[in-house]
Amino acid sequence: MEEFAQDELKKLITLFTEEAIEKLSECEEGLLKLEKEPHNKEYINRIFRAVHTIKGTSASLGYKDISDFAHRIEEVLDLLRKDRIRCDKSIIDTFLTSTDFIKKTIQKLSKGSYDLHGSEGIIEELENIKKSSAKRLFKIIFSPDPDMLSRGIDPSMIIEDLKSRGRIINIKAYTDAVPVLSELNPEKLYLRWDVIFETEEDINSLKSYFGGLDEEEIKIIPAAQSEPEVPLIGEVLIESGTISEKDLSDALENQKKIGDILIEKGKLSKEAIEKAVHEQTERRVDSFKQTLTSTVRVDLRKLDRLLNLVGEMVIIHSMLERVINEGNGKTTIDYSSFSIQVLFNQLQRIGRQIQESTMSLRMLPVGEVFHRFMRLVRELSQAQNKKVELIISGEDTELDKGVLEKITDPLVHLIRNAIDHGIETPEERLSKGKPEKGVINLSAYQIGDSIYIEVDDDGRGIDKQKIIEKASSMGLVKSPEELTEEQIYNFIFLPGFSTAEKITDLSGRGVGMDVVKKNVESLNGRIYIRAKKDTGTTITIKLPLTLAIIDGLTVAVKDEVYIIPLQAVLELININRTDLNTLNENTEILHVRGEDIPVIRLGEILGIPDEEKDRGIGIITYHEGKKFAIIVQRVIGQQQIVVKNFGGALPRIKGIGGCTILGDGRVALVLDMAGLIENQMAGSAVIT
Amino acid sequence: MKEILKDQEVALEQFQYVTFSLNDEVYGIDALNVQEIIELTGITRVPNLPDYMKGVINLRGTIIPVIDLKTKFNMKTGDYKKHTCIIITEFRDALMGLIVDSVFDVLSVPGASLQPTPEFVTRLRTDFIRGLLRMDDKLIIILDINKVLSDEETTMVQEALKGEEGGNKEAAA
Repeated sequence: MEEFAQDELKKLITLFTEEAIEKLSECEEGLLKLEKEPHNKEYINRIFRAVHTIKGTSASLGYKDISDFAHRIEEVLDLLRKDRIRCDKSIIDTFLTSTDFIKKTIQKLSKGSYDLHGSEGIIEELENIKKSSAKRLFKIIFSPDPDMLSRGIDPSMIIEDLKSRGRIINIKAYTDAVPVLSELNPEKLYLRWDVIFETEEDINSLKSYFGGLDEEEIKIIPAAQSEPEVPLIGEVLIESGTISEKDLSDALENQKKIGDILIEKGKLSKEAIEKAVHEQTERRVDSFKQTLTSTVRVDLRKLDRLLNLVGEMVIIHSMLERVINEGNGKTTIDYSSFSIQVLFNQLQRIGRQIQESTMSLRMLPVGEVFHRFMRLVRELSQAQNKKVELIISGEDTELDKGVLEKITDPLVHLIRNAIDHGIETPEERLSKGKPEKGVINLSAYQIGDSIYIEVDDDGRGIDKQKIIEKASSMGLVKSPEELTEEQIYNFIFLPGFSTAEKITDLSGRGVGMDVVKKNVESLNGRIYIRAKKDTGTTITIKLPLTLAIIDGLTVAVKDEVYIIPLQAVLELININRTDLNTLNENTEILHVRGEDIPVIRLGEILGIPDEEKDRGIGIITYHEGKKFAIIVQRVIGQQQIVVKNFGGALPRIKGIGGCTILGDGRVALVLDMAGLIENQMAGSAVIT
Repeated sequence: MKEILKDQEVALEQFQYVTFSLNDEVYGIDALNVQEIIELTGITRVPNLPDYMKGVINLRGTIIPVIDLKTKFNMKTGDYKKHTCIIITEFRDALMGLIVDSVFDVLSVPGASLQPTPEFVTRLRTDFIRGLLRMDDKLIIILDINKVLSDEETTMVQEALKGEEGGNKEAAA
C-alpha cells in the first residue's frame, strides 16, 4: 500500500514540477517585459497569478517552505501592483533571482530531496524591498500664504509637528522670494519649502492634518520611491555645474569591474577571475537549458478534431461489421465486396486524417522556446558590456516537440556566438556608424514541408580571409581561390576550428559550431551561413516538419531489410561490374557519368556477408557536399514510415537512426546516412 | 542473504517465481519483473551489438531489445525450437526480452525456502544468482534479473563510449 502511495506522490510531484516550471518561465517572461514597460499592470498581474499558482500548489503538496517563499515574492509583487514601490532594475533582478531559486529548488525536488539552502540572502532582499515600502513617501510642497504669520500660524511649528507623524527625509527651503532687507516686511512670510516625508499614514489623514491650510498653500504628492537620501556624487557635480553629464557618463564607463580591481591589487590572478566569470556564464546558460517539460499542452480544438475523427471511424467500423454480417451466408459476394471497398476507402481517409491530427498534437509553437532567449540575451549582453536587443518573430510557427527540445541547445549556442563574436562593443559600433545597440533577429517560418529558424545579427560578420588563412594553416586548403563561399563557411563547422582572436568567457574555444551542426543533422536538418563583413551574420537552420514520419526507401541486403531516408537519396543506379574499380585493393570507386564516387557496401558495414559482389543497386547520396554510392542488393520500394526509438534499453548506435515496423510486423532499421558515412570514413583511408 | 533470512516477515511471505529452462537446467526470476511471455517472433538483427544481444522485436508496436540468456551466460547454444520463447521483463521503465528454451510455471514459495548460493565454481557470475530453490529433487537457480540487466546496461554503455572515443580519435587523426 505504501508503495502505491509513493507512486501516486511521485506522479503528483512530477505534475507539480512541470506546472511550476512552466509558471516560472511565464514569470520570467513577464518580468523581462515589465522591465521594458514598468507601468504595464497587466504584466504584474500575470506574474502575480503565476507566483500565486506556485504558492498554492506547493502548499497543497506540503512544501511549506516553497509556498512561504512564493508568498514572500507575492507580497512584494502586491506592493508593486499597488504602486507602493517603484519598479526598477534592482527589483526585477531580485525577482529574477527569486524565480531562479524556486526553479532550482523544484528541480532538486524532482530528483528526490530539496532544501532551501541559500534562500536567506534573497529573503533578506525581498524583506528590504518590503520595508522600504511599508512607509510611504510624500513630497509636501509647502508654499504658505505670505500673510500666514498674521493669521497666527507659525510654519516652523507645522514642520516641527510633522516630525511626530513620521520622518522628514529631506527638507529644502526656497529663499528666492526673500526681498532685499530694505523692502523686507517682518510681518510677511517669504519662504517656501519642499519636504520629503516618510510616514505610515495615508494621504487622506495627512491632508486632514493640514486641514487649516488652503490647498494652494500645501500640496501633498505621493512619491513612489525614496529619492536617494544623499545624492550621488556625480549628480551633485552636475547640479553644481562642475562637470557635464557627458563627463559623468564617461567616468562611469571607465569604472572598473570588481574583478579588474582585484587583479590590480594583486589579490587574484587574471586566470582565476576569468575562470570565475566563465563559471558565472556557464551557470546562467545551464540554468537556462534544463527547462522543457515532458508533457504537452494541447489546444482543445485539436483534441476535439481528433475526437470527431475517432467518432467517424467508430461509425465506419459498425457499418463494416453490418456489411460483413449481411454478406454471411449469401452467395452474391459482389455487392458486399463493393461496399467493403467503399468503406475501406473511407477508413483509409480517416486513418490518414487521424494520423495528421495526432501529429499536430505534438506540434508546439516555437515561441515557447524563443521567449526564454530574452533572458539569456539580457544576461549575456550585460556580462559582455554590450547593448543587444533580441527581436523575435514567427513565434507561432509550430514545430514537433521532440525537434523543439533538441534545437534549443544549438540555438543557445548560436545566440551566444552572436553576442560574443557578432555584436561589437558600443564604441566599436558607433565608430562604424552603426547604432549603439546591436540587434539579433530570431525568427521562424515555414516553407513547404520545412521549418526555417534564423538567427540574424547585425554585428561584424565573418571575415572570410581569416577563415581561409586558418584553413590553410591547418592544411585543409590547397587552392583558396577555388573555394566557393559555402565551402569557406563550412570550415567553421569543422571540429576545432575557430576564428575568434581571443578566448572569451563565452565561446570561441573552437568547440561548438561542429556540435551545432551535428545536432541539427541528427534532426535531419541542414544549417547554412550567410555573412557580410561588418554587416552581420545570418545562420539558417532548416528542419523537417516532423521527425516521426518520413519518406523512406526500403532496401534489402540478402534477407535483411533496411530503410534509407528518401531525403538523403540523390539517385539510384544499376551497378555494372565494369563501372567499379578498386583503389589500393580495398577502396572501391564507382564511375558514374564521368564522376568517380567512393563506394560503401551496406552489407559489409552492417556485417552481412555479401555474396553477389557484381550485382546490386547503387544509391547515390551526399555528405558534406560529396557524393557517395551505397550499394545494396535490392531496392524494394518507397513508403512512408513511422520512425520509432529503440527506447532506453539500447545504446545509440552510430549509423542507425531508429527503426520502424513494416507491414508484416517485422522491425526494420532506419539508417542514418551521415553517421554511416562518417563511420566509414573514420575507419578507412578514403581520400577526402 | 543472512539479513533476509533473519527477517521473519520476509521468511514467511510468499514469493512468486517464473521458472524456465536453459538447456537442462531450471532457472527462475521474480514474477514481479515479468510483464508477459510471448512466442519467439521475428528478431531483427541490429549491427554492432554484443553477440548475446540478438536484436529487436516488435511487441504490439513497441520496439524491445532481446538478449539470449544462454549466450549471455556462456552456455552451449543451439537453434531455436518450438518451445523457445521470450520473457518480456520490465527493468527501470524499459522493457527487455529474454530468450529462453521453455517456460514452465509460476512457483509460489515462502521466502525462507530460498537457500543462499554456495561458493561453487561456475561460469555464471555468482552475483547474478539470488539463491537456490530445491523443489522435489530439482534444483532451481533463482536469478537476480536486475543485476543481470544492469550489468547489460553498463557494458553496453561502456561499449558505446568506447566506440565513440575510438571514432573521435580516428577523426582527429
